[in-house]
Amino acid sequence: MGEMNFVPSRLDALVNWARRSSLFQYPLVTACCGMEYMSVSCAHFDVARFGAEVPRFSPRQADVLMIVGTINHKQSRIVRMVYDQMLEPKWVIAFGTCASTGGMYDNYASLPGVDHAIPVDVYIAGCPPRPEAVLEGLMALQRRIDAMTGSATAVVGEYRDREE
Amino acid sequence: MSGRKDDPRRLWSDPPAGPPPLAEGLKPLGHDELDIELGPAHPAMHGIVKLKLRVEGESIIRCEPEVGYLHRGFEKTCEHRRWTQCIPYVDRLNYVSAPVNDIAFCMTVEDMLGVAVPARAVALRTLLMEAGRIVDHLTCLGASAMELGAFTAFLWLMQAREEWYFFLEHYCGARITTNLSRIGGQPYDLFTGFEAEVEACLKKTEDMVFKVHKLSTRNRIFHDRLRGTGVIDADTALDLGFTGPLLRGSGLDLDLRKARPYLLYDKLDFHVPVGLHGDNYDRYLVRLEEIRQSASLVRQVLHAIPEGPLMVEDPHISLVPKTAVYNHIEGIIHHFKLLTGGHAVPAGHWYKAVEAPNGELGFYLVSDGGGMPYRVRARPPSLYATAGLPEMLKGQMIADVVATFGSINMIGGELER
Amino acid sequence: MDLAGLRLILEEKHQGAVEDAAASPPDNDELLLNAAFLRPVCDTLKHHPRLSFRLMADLCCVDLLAWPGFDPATDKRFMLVYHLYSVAHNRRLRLKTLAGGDDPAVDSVAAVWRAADWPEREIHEMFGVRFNGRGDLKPLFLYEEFQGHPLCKDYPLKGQQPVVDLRAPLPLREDPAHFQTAFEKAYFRPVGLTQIDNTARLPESMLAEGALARLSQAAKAYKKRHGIDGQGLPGPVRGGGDHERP
Repeated sequence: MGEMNFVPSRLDALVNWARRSSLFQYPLVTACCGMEYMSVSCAHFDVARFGAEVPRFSPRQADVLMIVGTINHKQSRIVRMVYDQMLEPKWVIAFGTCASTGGMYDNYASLPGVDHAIPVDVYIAGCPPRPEAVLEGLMALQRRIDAMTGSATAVVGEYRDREE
Repeated sequence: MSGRKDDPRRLWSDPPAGPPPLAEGLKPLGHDELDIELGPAHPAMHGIVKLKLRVEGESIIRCEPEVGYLHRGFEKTCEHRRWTQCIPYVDRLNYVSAPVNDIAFCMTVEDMLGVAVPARAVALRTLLMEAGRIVDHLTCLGASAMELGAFTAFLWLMQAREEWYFFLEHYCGARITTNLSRIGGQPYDLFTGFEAEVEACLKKTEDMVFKVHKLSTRNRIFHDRLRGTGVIDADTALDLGFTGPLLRGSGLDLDLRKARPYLLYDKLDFHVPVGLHGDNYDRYLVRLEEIRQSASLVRQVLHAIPEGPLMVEDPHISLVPKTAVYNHIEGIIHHFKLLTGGHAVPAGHWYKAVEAPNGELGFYLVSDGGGMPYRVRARPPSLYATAGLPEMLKGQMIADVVATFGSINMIGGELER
Repeated sequence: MDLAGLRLILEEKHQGAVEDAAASPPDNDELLLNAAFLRPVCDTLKHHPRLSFRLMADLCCVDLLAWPGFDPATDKRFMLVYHLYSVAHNRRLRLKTLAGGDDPAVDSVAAVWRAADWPEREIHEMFGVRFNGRGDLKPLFLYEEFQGHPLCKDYPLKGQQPVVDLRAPLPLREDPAHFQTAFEKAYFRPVGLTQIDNTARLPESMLAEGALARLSQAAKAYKKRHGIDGQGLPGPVRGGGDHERP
């Protein structure tokens, strides 16, 4: 982008702040991590404080795809289809060790990490991760969103140049 | 599918050009009929079951579940692990009630080894099994209430469940996948403040269950959604292999804690709730009442835990204390042989079943005399429940699918292992 | 009713159906059935008023290929195990039957207990045992492109299947050419993927020349040493049982 002037960079920061404070999640819950996902969404650990409590079960309306639980080869197609249906900007959180690296399942059926099917932004380790770890992962994603350049000022199609 | 045809990241082939061939015995679509697929990426399908429905308007003519989206190779993996190493895998079967799975597996191996676990461990195991049952029912009722739109009930029940998770974390270090039992007894003892913490959990549970009961049981919408939907009679349920609240909701009172008692259940005082109509509403009531009965069981055990050792004092079965490992040669030998070789379970097979929150959870273990199992088979209550789902959905509407599917408490880890 | 009485009732109706019995009360009594009589025996077990095993608790299969004393030349490879429960008499029973040869098959009991429908599909896809006399045996848990029967003892644990190529580079999000700041360039380090070669292959010992013949000889020697006559199937563990209550 070259040098950024003050006003455009402040506009970017505003858009980034809006995006990171109102993430609509798509929780693709498969296994045990789903229990921790429920705990995170509920009253005690309250992901609503981060603005991310709304689960949108349509990928068209979601920003963050949270892969919660083990993904196997049969499910990998589904994960890819859901990811492809999401609109930009989109992020992916691999929630739990099964989604990050396959976890303790190293066999013919399960995928060693969902990043063999879709690109992942944040990996949250734990089997299942404590709710505090999930919130830390969410905050890491928020920091990443804050660091995005060109959110308000880039020409559409230019700042995320991927062949999709 | 994304990307160009020659994109090296393309993972799968293109979809077929025409419509897929009809399944065997399926007639072509009639005038008002529609084939829809519910799932697997669907909140009410718990992410892993695809229901292929043929509907006419809103009524379901045919339903066929397709599963396998969480098949993790549990049985094959356990054949390559030592007996104690199987316990974390067993945890993740019915992951909402992990203590039950751990204890059931350990009990089966102990039966094969021919050891009796000390009384203190037996009492602790009974308490933890009932705690697992409470957690499972709280989750099932909460999740199915949420899927029907009763979000408050979900939040309240999850609050109660959170207390139990803190207790389990205090006891064994993990909230959900607890790994809290070993072959030969219990590795972890009571901690200071155990009784107070369990009492606090029970009080919270009973408060929240009462509040949910006040809110839902005579609620008109709840009643309309659940009464008369997902009906199954006791004979068909038995033929389909249903056990647990599914079977008891239909009127047959089969509870393994009463029929074939294990642990301390024949000495404890509790009732088994049984439904009448076999519909979703009765199953909801059965689970609600079972929470209260389990709470009473936990209280009875809590005040009657005997003193004594926690593990069988046999160095071939339980780990010797660390002081012996570091100071005596036999200690280090036993430690080494047990950890690297595994338990020498005599050759043969064994089946033992417990009353899990979902039904009869049985472990069929085959040993060839070595330290690793030859075959591990978990009898999954959810498999039979999901296989019987088409029977329960005959003549129902699409909205009833959500209510019924929530009430069978299908847990993917157990269904697909 | 104890196991002997149960066996008498079955043998009255079906001569030669029960080949062996092993009592291990209360939960692990078992009968070894001749596979040809499986369906009629199950009918009797379910409908006879003194038996009334109306709940089929579980149906599973064990691959005996690696069982000590298994002789691939003469023994049957797959043992099917049925766990039954009678609500009326509060009694459990285990049935065993064997299937082997090039095309292992037994009769289906899905018409007796509807609970057997899905377990039979699962056993077919996991072991390759066919069930006669029922609808199509579609796979239950595995995807269409799956090749092989994973729970068989000669299938490797980490068999590679052609759905997701685990050796392909991971799909990346950022194109490193577009990084601008030094932080991004330093932060993003593409992790090399280890070239894991876990293509499906049989264990070496199974593939080698004469492996099966050697296994046969070893099995005969094992049987002679242990005094096992016949097949030496898994039986209830001797000395097993609920030792908490005498």
